[in-house]
Amino acid sequence: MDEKLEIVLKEVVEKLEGRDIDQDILRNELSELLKYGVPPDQAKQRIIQKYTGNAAAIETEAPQKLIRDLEGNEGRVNLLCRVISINERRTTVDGDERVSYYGLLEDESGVVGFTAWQDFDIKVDDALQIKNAYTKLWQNKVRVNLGNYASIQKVDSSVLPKGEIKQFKIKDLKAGLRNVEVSGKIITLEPKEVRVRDEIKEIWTGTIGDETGRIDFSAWHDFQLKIGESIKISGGWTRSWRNMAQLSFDERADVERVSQDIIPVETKDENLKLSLEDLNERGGGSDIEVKGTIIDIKEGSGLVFRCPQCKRVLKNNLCGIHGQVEGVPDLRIKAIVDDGTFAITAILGKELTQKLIGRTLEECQNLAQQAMDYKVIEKEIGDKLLMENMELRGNAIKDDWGVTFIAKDAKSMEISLAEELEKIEREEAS
Amino acid sequence: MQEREVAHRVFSGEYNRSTVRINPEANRMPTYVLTELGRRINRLFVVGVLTDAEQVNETKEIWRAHISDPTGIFTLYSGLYQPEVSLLLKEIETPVYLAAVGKVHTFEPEEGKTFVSVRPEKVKVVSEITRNHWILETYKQTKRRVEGLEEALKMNNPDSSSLVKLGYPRKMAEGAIDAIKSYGEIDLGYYNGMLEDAFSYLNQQIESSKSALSEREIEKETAKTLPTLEEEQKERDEAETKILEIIKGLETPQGVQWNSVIEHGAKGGLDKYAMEEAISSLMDKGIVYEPVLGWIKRT
Repeated sequence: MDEKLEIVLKEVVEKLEGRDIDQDILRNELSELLKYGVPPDQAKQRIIQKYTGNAAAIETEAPQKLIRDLEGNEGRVNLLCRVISINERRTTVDGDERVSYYGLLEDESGVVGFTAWQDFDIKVDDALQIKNAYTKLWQNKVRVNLGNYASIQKVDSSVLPKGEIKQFKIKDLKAGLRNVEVSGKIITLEPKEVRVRDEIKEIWTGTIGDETGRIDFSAWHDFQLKIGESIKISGGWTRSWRNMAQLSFDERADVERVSQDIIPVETKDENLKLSLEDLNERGGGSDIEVKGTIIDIKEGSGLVFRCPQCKRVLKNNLCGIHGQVEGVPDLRIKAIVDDGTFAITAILGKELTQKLIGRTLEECQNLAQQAMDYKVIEKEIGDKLLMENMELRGNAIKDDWGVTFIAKDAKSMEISLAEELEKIEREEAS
Repeated sequence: MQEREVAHRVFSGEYNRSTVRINPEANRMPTYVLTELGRRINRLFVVGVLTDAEQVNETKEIWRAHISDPTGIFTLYSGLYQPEVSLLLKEIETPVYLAAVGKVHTFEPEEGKTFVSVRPEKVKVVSEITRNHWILETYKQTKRRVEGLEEALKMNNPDSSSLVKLGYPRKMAEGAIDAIKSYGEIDLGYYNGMLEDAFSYLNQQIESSKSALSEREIEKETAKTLPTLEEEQKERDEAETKILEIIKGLETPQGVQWNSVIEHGAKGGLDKYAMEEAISSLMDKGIVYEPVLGWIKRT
């Protein structure tokens, strides 16, 4: 104990050199903190801060960290990284409007989300030497926080080490990777307009697949992509979007057309069509197909009203965040789909709901008005879809609440009994 | 968080033979019925012909109903907490194809005797297509279990990891081993027979839909082979007499178990469906009654 105390004391004294402070007082204060089990590093920091009023005075001691190695709940984190994205967020606290910023940082090891509690004047693509950031766990993910003690220095992007490009099969893509190389066939593709820092930017979103699986992607540059062509992307990154890994790439990536003979791009059925039990074992998946019976329509299906700002469903005409708002009508179905091996919650949006019940949103609104009850739509959904066998295509997410399936397409299952029986007879014969 | 209980596709021929109940390990944990084929069932999904529905308690809205599938009959009891189900059963005209999602319910009149029924959570009238689809799906899932059990019984020391290595899902493998431990002897011959019943039933469905097209042509043919109404009535009366004889022969003060009547009848060459029909006809006439579920007694 004493030995440790002397070492820490020596470091503190060095830091506080030039200030007229009695070593014995310092020793007493330190030993008191250590006696209570405060870790030496923190004890040192507290005392230095007490006498200098600035914890940043010891910043140079913290080593550079890699994003991959961040654990959450760390103080004094130093990173050499690049800004992938940054967005402004305005919140009102006790009547005062506060501005904070959030986005993504990357280094050669990975990508991490960050929150800046003041304006550090950073922009997308800036290379930064960040000192004295701290990390926290938010929904089980590490986030970097840039608070009052953080210092941020812009550096020349050439000092950023280039990560090695790593090849991945699509099923192995998890959120938070960078320098990714994947090959696959473009299954779907559509242009989309997004707002980035008050600028409208056109991006291309879609689904890409190889033999192991499929993933949604966003291309932030016009690579003249076409549905059905096979490409190799070098230098993409992945992020988490609605709890799913999503592939992104921009003009810094190399996109190369490849021959389908060289790289297998057709997703194998066993990776595309899953029993619900297998889907659960895999922990979800992108653009997959499942079959099952709707055995329950959950409350909150049918005609709902959403907050115009945050799109949350209103309860008693109130938004949990924005209070009294003019609700925007919408249709959706939340159904329990069960195939005898596992049960999932499937979410079907407006377009699919309209298709399956054969009514438009307007018709539903009229019906609800006539009945003076929004529940009539939920009841109609039950009458039409309960106990129906369905085929669903979409993305599945597994979390603490089970498996949620966001459907992109849904239709009634059609089977030919004769064909199925023949198949069984053939299997039995072999 | 607790996983939602999966709705098992199980034939009544498998479900009704279950005698093992797995009690909750802790508060708020579900009860399971373990079938001989190793299904741990808390919730099930059944589709079949609703043959009848009647109120069993005059003061409370408790309804008993029977759903028939190609292998037997499910008994359903709707309780106080399923008013929608009771309402549907009250107003429905039978027979009709009905789908039901429900929870297991067990009744143990005495030590060592277990009767299983279904407490429906959701019911809905469905089409013949949905019913046939259910038989097909239930057939496939049941067959895989029979195959898994066959593999397990071949092993000297059956264990679930060996079954998983053979390609069976983990839960299915664990269930098979549980079943072997709990039931010991499992009559797989019975289950293969049950599967055959289901399969040929589906084949008949295809045949009958084919024949519907050329109905007029075969009408003449079938007219020759079909029994006349008188013959049919005679056959029924005979079956009822035989069944009554069997009940008389086996009856104890508590009555006689439904299953043993059927077993005896089957030995005597009676058809299973004819027997079910005969017993319910005897009950309608008030000659026999069901003192407790699964037992028959003469009045």
